[in-house]
Amino acid sequence: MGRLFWKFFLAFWLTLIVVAIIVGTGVRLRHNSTHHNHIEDYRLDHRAGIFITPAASIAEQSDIATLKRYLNDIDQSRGPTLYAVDAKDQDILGRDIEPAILIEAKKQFELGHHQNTIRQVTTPLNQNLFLFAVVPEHFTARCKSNKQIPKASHGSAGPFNGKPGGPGGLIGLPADLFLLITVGIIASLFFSGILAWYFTKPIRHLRNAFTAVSAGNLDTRISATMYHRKDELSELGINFDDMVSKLQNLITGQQQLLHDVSHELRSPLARMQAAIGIAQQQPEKRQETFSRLERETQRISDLIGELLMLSQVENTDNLQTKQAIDFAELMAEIIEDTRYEADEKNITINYTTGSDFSLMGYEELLRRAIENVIRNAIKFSPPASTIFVTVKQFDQHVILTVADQGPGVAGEDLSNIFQPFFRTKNQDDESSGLGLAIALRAVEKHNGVIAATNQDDGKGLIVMINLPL
Amino acid sequence: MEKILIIDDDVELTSLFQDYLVKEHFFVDIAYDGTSGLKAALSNKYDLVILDMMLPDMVGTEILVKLRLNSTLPVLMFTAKGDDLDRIIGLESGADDYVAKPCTPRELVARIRAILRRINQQAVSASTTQQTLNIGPLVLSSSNRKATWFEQDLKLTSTEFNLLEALAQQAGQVVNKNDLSEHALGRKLVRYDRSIDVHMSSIRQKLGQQKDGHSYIQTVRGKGYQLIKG
Repeated sequence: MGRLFWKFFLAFWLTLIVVAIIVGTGVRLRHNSTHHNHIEDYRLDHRAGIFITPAASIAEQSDIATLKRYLNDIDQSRGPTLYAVDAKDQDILGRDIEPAILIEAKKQFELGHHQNTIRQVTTPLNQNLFLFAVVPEHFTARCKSNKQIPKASHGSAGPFNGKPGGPGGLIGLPADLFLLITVGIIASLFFSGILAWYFTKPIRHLRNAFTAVSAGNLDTRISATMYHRKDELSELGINFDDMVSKLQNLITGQQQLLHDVSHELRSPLARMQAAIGIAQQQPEKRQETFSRLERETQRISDLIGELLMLSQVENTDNLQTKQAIDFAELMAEIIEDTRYEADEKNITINYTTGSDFSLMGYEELLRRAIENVIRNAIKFSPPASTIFVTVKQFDQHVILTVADQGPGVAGEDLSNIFQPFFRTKNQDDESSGLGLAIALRAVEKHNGVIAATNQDDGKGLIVMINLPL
Repeated sequence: MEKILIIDDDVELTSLFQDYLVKEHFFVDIAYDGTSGLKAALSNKYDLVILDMMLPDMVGTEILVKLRLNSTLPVLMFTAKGDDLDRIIGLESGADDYVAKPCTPRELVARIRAILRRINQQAVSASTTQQTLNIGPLVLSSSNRKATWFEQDLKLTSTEFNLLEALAQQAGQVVNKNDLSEHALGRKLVRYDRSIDVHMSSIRQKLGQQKDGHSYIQTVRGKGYQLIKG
């Protein structure tokens, strides 16, 4: 159990206790202020003779106003409630009387029971008044229980503390209240514990998962264990899983790249070693060896240059900010640069463009991407063929297509040609294998899409770059 | 003149090796893919095959497994340096030895000579000594290079046969790895060389376990291996 558990636990528990106290106090206050109105809970009080007798003498000897004062005093002193009912069955203080109680009192009176507490008096002004006392039922019950186990009442001196019938039991802690509080505390502890556990358990899961990931276990996933929750914490779990799988893909990608790079470097190195061996074995072939070594070192150097470019594409955000690029000018420069290579194979580059526009982006990256695609087309084009380069602007997009008349790419390899070091089966390894991979990443940096398709007649490849403006 | 087949898709590299090996008095043929390479290897024309593990149409181990179904032709494989898994899988699939690429041609020739020398020695020893080794359930016939185990034919590559032979000749004693390497591979052990261990684990698998769960061949840590006698 971590500290968070105890914090949650204490917070919940204190809240429960405070709420319980507030609710308890509120209920009691309301109960006290309304207990006169709850007539159905009241019974005739047959022990209120000491209140009824003075009331009877006041009524018989004095006037109604004095009796009213006396009745008010009794009312406010939290004693039993004394009613004085006139001939019209109306209380002289105007209080509501439950008819059942009145009927009961009259019946008892006619039977001649409780002559001390139910009395019929006549005032000097010849008014008939009917006097009786009423007490809350639960109060009489408590008086009984207090009588049976008087020790259980704490502090208070008992049920008839100074005032007969006074609610002295509420001031102390009688046994049932004590039990109620104990049960309440245990229940609140229990529920606070459950609640705290419910909140801290997924956090503990998360923590374990973080530890596992930082220890290098990128297969860690947690959303399955908290799937049933469907709350913010399970969303956090799903986000965590997303993060880890993205990291995993990134790291796997990097490892694959490193693996591929070492393979790529191995071939030219193997050829260099073989060439050196031959030069040692056959000194007359030294010149040939030198030119081969030169070629192979150039290949390694190109590969490293491309690799740096690839990593630069990935890190563009740190290097520069986007600038407005005059697209027509950029394309003109690229076509001019690539024409030199195309001329060597007697290839024509047919470039058509529509409107003139500019676009926000990284000029160098975009140049590399487009250049690599056109170079790739030149490489696979047969001599004396034509490459069609088209730029069209649609609404908020610019679409650049490069179509060659080369052999095309097998359908299943169309998406793979953008992977680093992917080579089609009939391809020599003159190329670095990174050109289209760089193009893909550069286009993605511009939130664009690059895709390849074969021409309808199967003759030649079309590479399409879609850039948002 | 010994005939060598190189199966590798690197055109430039193979032509360089061909050039070098021809000057070293070998006859060299080249196959640029697995399918034609396997066909050529099975033609019984060659004394040794140099096999690259990364071919465009087939992985090297696939070729090895297919070749080993019908042939004991010595195979020297080209593996990527640092790729131990590749090497172990290759040796387990029945390659006789390996050369890490990139390698110098001199190193390659030394490995080729080691394998061929060993094969020749076996031929000589087989014709001069009509020896049959009999250790418990194991019967090794050096003349026709056949092994039986609990009266069942035991399929061993030539390197595995040599290793088992070396252990059987000194059954009950520890044979150190360097001697095993010289006897079975025709060369000295080099640093980080796990070939003997890989071959040995392959033999162990073929022999199975004793009733008490121990292997018939025991490892003596830091020294070598020992064939249990009887």
